[in-house]
Amino acid sequence: MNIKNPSRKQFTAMFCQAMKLTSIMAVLALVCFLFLTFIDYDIYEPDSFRKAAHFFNDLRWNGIKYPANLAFIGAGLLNGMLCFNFAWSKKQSNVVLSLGMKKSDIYFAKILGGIVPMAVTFLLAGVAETISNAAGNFIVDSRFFAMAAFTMLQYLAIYILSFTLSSAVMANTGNVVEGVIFTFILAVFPMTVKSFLAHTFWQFTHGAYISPEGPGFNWSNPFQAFHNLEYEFMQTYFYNNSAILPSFSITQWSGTIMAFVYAAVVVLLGYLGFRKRRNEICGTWGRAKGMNEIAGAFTGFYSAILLGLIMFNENHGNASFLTYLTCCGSFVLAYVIFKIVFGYKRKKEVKTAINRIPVYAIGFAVVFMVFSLGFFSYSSKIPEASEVKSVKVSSPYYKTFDEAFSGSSEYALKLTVLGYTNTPDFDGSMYMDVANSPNISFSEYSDIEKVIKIHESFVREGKIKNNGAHSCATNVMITYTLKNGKEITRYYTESTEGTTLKLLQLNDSSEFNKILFEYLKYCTGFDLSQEAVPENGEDGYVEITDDGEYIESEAYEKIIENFTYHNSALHCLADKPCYIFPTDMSSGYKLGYIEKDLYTAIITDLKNKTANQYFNHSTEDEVGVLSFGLSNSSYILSGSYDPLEGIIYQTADEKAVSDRDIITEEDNHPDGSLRQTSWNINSSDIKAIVITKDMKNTLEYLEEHDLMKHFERTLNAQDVKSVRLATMGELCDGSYDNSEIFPIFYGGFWTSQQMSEWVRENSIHKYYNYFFENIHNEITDRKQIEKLLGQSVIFGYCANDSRIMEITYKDGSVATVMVRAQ
Amino acid sequence: MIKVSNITKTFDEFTAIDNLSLEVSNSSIYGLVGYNGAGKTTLLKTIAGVYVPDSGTVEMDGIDLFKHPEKKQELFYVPDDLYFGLSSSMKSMAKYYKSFYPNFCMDTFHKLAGLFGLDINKKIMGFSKGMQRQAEMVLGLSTLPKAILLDESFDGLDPAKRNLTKKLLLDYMADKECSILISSHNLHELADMCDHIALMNGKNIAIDCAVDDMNGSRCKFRLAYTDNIDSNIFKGIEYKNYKADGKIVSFTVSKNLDEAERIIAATNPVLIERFPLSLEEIFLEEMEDTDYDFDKLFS
Repeated sequence: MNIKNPSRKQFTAMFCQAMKLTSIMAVLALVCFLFLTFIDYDIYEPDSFRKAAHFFNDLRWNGIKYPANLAFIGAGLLNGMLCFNFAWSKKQSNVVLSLGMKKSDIYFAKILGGIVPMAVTFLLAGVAETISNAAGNFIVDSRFFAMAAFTMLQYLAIYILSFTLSSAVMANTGNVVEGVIFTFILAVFPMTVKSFLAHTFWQFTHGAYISPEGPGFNWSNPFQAFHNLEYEFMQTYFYNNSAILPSFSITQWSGTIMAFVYAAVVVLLGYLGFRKRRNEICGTWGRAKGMNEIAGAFTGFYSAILLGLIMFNENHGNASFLTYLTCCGSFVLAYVIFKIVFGYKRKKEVKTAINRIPVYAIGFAVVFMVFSLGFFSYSSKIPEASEVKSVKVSSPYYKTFDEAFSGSSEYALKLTVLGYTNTPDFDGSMYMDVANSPNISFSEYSDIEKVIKIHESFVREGKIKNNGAHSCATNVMITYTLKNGKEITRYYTESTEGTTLKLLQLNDSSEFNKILFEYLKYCTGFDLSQEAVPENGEDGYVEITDDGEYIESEAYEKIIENFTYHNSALHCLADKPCYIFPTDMSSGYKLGYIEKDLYTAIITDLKNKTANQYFNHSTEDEVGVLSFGLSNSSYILSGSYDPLEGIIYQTADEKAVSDRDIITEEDNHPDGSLRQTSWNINSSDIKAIVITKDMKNTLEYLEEHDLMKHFERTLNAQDVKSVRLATMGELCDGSYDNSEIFPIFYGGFWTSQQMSEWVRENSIHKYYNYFFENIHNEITDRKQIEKLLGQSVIFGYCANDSRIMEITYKDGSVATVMVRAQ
Repeated sequence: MIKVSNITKTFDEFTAIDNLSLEVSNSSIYGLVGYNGAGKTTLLKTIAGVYVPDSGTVEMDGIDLFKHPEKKQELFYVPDDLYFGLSSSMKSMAKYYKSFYPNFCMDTFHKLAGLFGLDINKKIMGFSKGMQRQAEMVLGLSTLPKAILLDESFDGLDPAKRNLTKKLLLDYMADKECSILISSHNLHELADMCDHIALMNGKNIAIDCAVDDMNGSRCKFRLAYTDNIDSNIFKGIEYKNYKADGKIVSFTVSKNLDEAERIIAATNPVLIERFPLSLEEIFLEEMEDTDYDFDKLFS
């Protein structure tokens, strides 16, 4: 009796045993594939645009691809459990492990036995698909095979990863319940690692920037087929006969590649564990020490991410010892609970777990330290100016004073000063959406140097506490495009006031003026860069046709031809005339559509304006406001406006009045208010320019056209009933500090009539906003009020020691201004 | 030949086997006796490779089974808990074992199945417990192993089948020079078929000798005196289970029996009776020193 082919024969036998178990799923999959291949065979005839009719085509539909995705994951998990069910059956393991086989042969034979049937299924399905396509006169060429391989390998990779993971876990645990739970815990590991790294990087590394989620190398979610495959990618191929199949990029293959890589790693680790497996764990609970420790640590790790980094600290944004403690605490909580639940000897397990906690705490500390200390010079890296082709500075998001008006979102006149806008579509996640953000791109060497100096300032001051007394919420993203084509992006959410002021100096650049120009162009319809400029009509304004959608002007038609965004321009011209406001913002004069001369004057003045003049002008410097984008047709409280006739039809007495007249008309409102404009301002689209005394050209134009009188305030200190003062932080629902709010202030005004209407529309008994509700330091002393008004501005840089003041006038209207510390 | 050298197996803090060694020669049936939890099954599972020992080696014909598990294709382990596939018949199990045991003989399988009167096409799960044991025995012997490990394999067998199985094993052992290691609680069964027996007394082997030697190695003395006597007069004898009932004294002796008898004779008893100890008595005597002290337990 000699040993005959000891390993090969027995390996084959074990392999065949495993194949028998797993072939059920493979046969089911094959049946489904063949069904997809032949079910629509007669329905779809080859035509001029369709190249493949069957499941390669069908698998791109969400209705099939996601269930298929889940089905292959499920099949893999189930087959893994079937192949290694001896690991949790004492009876079976007596038989299997007493066979004359090496553990490695048992393990790998079963792994192969689980993979081969499904691989054969894919192969057979592919052959059947190819034959059916060929028989149906569809095109079967190299592109077809490339697409077929791409499609099938993705699903096969998912199956193999699920199967190997399930197998490896089952081979190293003692019972099926543990096996299933541990499999799930291990399966989500790559995803959670990504989340952990992203959150830690974001919170701990100064200047951290994380690209928005999108197609990229998929290393964290290999279980999702078509992760990076755009629908159009396959759509183009299948339905466009002339289309050439795009070459598959490494990114598109990444999910498949990583699934195979992870599967290989899992198989190896599973084998190393199985080789050392002590079979006494078989059929018991909590005795698989290695797997138990791994799953326990992973569970603690997930808890640290979820509770420590995301729930408690995501919005906090501070890298702090508290975050570390929260993470460690969350880890310990979940880890110890896990040990209690999955412990064999619970007291001992918990005791051992507690002894191990310092090791994990040190692990967290090391990771956090690496990220805190600049992540291997990531934080301190600034390119040389000579290396930089261009640099873009953008404000992806900042918290604004909008929340100060919470409860009254239609605050009548809420200035949004040109060049600055918030992006309210920010979704609160850590990924920055810059699509709607204002960007300034510099390519001049001197400008690049200027940005680098600002960047150096950010780096020098390091990550500062964002609720510090002298910090500001800047939310600035600096993106360098290097001459070698690479990009370096850094993102800062807070800085010292000194750095913020340096940042505002960028307004002195020509690039910033271009932005103003773009905004003005958008709001006014003027484009000085175009040769064709709309001529004023006889009355000085562009004519509008009966339907109000375009202008009968040859000049304007030329503009339309040249404007890439002509629809917007038309809209602005038709719907958003210019208004003049005094600094009290109480009533506006409708100037109408802006003339070229005024437009030119404004542009000239803004170009000459320094950042300091722009943001730090004094109360005396402020003359008034020119505002664009006020919609006078869409939001009428007590009347309707006909832009064609230029008149307001008052609903109260049906008396038609001119839209010009209405500005000065006094409305005898029941509440006895002094002045009520019967039109409202749609504040959402307002773009305004605060006119200051240094804007010589603009003022000259206004004087020439006798428009300066409209800057006269109608509401003064004697009309004020009371004022209230608050810090920036107090205004943003009280949970923020000054430093968490972008320090550019812009004021607002709301008439009592508008407030009443708002109260009526919202079915509440009285007007309120955050000021009304929460700030109770009402000042009624006349002298104090006069003094405060004398120091107030309606726009500018709001230092941490500045205060926001809400003014309540005797007529019930309210205004918000800023009072500088002096 | 199976040679177990210095095997230690622990389950967490509990040591089931401590530095145990034994040897099962060719053409030998080695009986393993011990109380519940003495480590018999653990030892068999360790030899079979189901358990990985903490230390020690198991050799079969001089080949280390842990390093060369393929050698186990000449070894068949019949566990206490039998496993058959849910819908397996003896025939399908034969095919299964045939693929893993290259020496599997279908002729032998058919003959043995016929001998036991087992239907090889019937589902084994439908067999009685005893029939399942017979089936496993048939399958095991059909692999023509050079070594067989039997764990309580006679449990559930009726007397006829038990005798048949014993006879088969004895014949097979003699014919194939097979090494058989069998554990059982039934000392009588082992006594009449084993040529060597080991008594496991928790963690280790208390007694390990040939059955013939064991039969004469211990005896029980029953003595009668004319007066009450003091046990001190037996100084020089290593005795156990000393009992004095008036003038009647009894005890067992496990060493130097003739010397003990000479000392006893010197005490001038009226009557000396010397009885050889049965295996069961030897087993119980060894049990005396264990934690299973029933007297103390219920006193």
